[in-house]
Amino acid sequence: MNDSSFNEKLSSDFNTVELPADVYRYVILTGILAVSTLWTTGFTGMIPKIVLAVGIVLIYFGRPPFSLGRAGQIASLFFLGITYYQWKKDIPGIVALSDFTCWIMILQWWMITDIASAQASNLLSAMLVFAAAAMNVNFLFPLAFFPYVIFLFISLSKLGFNQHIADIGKNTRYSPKIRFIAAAMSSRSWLSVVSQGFVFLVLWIGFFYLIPRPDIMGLAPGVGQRKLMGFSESLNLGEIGTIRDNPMVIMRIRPILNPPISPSIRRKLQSVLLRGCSFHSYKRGAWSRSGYRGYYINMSKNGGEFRLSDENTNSNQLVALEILLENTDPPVLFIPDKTKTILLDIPSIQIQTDGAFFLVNRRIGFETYQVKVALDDKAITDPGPLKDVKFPSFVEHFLDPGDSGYAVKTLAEDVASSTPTLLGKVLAVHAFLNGNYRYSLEEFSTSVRDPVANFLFQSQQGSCEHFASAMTLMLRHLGIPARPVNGYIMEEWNNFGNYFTIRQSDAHSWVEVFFPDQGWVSFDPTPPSTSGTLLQRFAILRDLRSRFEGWWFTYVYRFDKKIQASGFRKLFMQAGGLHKQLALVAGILRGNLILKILLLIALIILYVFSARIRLSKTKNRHWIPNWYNEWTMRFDHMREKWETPKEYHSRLIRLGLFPREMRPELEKLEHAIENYAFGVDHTLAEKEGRQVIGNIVEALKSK
Amino acid sequence: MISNTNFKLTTTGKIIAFLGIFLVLAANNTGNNLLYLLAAGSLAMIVAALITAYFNITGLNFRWEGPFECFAGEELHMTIQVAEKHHRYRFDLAISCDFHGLLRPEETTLFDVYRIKKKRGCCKISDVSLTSLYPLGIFQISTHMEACEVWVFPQPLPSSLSDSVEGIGKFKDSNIDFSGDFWMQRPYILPEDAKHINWLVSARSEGEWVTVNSSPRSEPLKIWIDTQVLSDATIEMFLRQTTDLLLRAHESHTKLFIWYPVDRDNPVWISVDDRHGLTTILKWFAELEPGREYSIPDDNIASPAFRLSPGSFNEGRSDGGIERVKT
Repeated sequence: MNDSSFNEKLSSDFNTVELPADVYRYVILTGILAVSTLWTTGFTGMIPKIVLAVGIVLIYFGRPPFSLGRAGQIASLFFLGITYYQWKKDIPGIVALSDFTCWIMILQWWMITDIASAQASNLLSAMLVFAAAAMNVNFLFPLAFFPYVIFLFISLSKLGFNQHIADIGKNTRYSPKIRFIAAAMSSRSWLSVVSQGFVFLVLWIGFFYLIPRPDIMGLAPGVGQRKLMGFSESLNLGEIGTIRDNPMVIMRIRPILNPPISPSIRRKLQSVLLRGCSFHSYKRGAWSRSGYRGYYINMSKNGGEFRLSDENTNSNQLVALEILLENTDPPVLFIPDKTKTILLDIPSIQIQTDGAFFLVNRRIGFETYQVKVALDDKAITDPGPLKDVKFPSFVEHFLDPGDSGYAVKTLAEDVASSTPTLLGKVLAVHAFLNGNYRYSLEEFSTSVRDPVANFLFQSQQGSCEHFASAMTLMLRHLGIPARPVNGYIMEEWNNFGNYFTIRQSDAHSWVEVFFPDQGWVSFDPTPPSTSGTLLQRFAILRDLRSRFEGWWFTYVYRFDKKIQASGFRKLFMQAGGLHKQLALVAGILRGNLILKILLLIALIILYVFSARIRLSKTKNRHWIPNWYNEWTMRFDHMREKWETPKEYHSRLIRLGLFPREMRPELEKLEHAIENYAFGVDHTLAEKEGRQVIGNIVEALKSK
Repeated sequence: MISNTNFKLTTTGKIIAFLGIFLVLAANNTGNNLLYLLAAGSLAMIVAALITAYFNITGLNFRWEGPFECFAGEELHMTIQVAEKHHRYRFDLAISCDFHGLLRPEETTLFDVYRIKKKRGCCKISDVSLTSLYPLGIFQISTHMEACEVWVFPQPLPSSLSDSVEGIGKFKDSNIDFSGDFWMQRPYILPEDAKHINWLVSARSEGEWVTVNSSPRSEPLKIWIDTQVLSDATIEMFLRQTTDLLLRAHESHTKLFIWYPVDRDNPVWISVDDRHGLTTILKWFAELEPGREYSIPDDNIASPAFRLSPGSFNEGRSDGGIERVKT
């Protein structure tokens, strides 16, 4: 836990306790390992080599060889400028910030003099690890991460120990007496320490699964049942419970516009619905997708482009959107309605007959794709009286109201009786639901046979799914093809990041109605909600959240697969380059005798130089040697700072800890200490001293 | 011994906690599993440190090796015995300035505590606690010790007894006097009558000495401390001087008895030669307040008692000195 050199550095003013060399080395090592986690991303260039070189030098010295002073502070400004320049060159923000942190950490190493500055270095190393994790790259990260954790624990433990000693010194006017240091640790005590580490591991794994997280990969309970927490491939009505407002981000949609988006376009975009999938048949309160077939599309043949409509649209009305879809389940691609073209870099996708797009293989990280959406306000053409409208055969399935009751049919006919046209009837039903029913996320009824009938005739309040289901069934009873659709709405605009944020709580259901000349047209019968969440009520909270989210996404998280893949390639190139460099050096050395001789001379000079450094360190040391201090610390009565070894031994004899017969041996020990402190041959003196100590210990044991 | 355990997050712990919460929010926002891993690690570090710190310090038995006594203004050295009874290793324990890196299972060890008390009296030292920053310096956990009783005696002030008439009397070392009369000597001053010179003492000393008051060695010397004349202005000095006197008497094994009237029903003469007796007297001094009335020695005593008052130590006072108690 501590080395004896610490005692030499104790001073009366404990606020300036110098950091022991071994603690300093562990802190440097922790920093080097943190950079190694960053190195696994492949985006670090020369920095890991510089960090390693500087770290090795500092580890050798065990302390900063000289103080940087003001130069260190000026250097940090210089590196800040470099970082800014990198960011302007479109290097991902997180990479630039990581580089900056590495430089600052190196400067910090040079300024470590006490516990607080060492902890600051540890904090910087933790920041580097967080950045590497945020880049979410590859499987090499854990290989570097776990050694980092081990050395972080060691350095924290040692810093905590020294902090404790320093606190003791501050609070009393006495020198702290340190007893039973690591030399006394047995295998059993180490086992105790290891078992504590095991507790940490168990807690780590436990917390990893216990930390609340959204429905990803089916980890959360109830993902199969629809609890209206968000989008799902099923649509079951009649479940009880308050809907939770899940803020998990599903996707971000960024308009790709030059110049930037205007408020009018933004408003139009906010009325766009993001289509997920639709439903086919209704039975006992549940909608199903059975009956839909899927087809695989090879996107690479079309250069990644998929056209949804052949209709020519004025290019001024087309808005390109970039969609960044998080790793969600099910793997649906959400397509805004009125999308004309989709651009994907995915090799193949699956498209189902209702127009739902599914990913075939789910890749790590978020998926990015682009769509072009037409924002023209084209009015819906009324095809005329419903009885004259001929629907194609493929929409026959969408006329079946399932086991929906007769009462629903009667209601639909009453509502739509005022108009004979198709569009008129649709709008009548839409207006009826929108104006007479209340939006609510509470489910009050229990186990009703027909939730839609219960919604229409009993509760008269419900969620968007009730509204969509009711409108669909009413239209089907009227003979109009309709289907409910699940997806998301796009409302939350992040002014800081210039994108729309779509969350689980933005999940929505609406209705698609088939018009013979126009295809499936969306209608949303759900009235707006009267009560808002806390964020909706307090604009300032909303703004703060947008700012944080925008900052995080823009500068930290925006690290897509392409950038990750290029980093991985760079990593392999660096590893290959290193191998070649080593082979080159080996080849040169093999053939060149003069170079070998020069290298040998350089090593000898280094050895001599380091010996002089060790000698100069010896001169500045206290004259009582470490090996003697280590031995005296095993006794209950430790040597006082002002006591010479002779006085100390006399005291031990007076206290009865040593028998008087041992006086000659103690004199030999005193002699050895004097030779070590004031003589020439320190090594021999130390050897003699240790031998005498061994004899004394043996003699004490035998007594 | 009952103790209270307190937890406090250190700066390191606060930083780790903040980072953990920050990581949880970031992980929740992004769904990044690596961030979940780091967040879980931060939280696990704090919880594991808390559990380890708790078990590192709880279950220890503490016992003061007291009661403790000291003189006012002098360093008091106390020891507290800490015993481990739960088959656990304990690390990095500190009480006051004493730091133990390791305490093995079922081991007992002693911690040293030093204090300086400036005022006499009986006080309780209650600000002692066992602290530890083990394992990672995240939590500072401390267990408060039960208060320990400390007797602080008046600080001895070397002084000499004054004569009732002239000069200053000296309290002579009993080793010098063989006749047994060693109490109350003073230098011989011309032109006093030379017959007052105590030649037995003077032959073994520098100069001539005159005996002022004496008591045979074989007979016990009784002193009654007159507390009724003590005032706020004189009590501290008087007690310090008397303490010094008693200590010297104790060291020289003088058969000196002090009238101890604290127990009203059973006042006794206490010998200062006996350590327990000396301690009893000094404890009385520690708590003595001016104006307290105590009983005086009655007249049924075999040998006369001397009265000790603040004036006994004053120089040049005409009414000072040790007087014989009128019987």
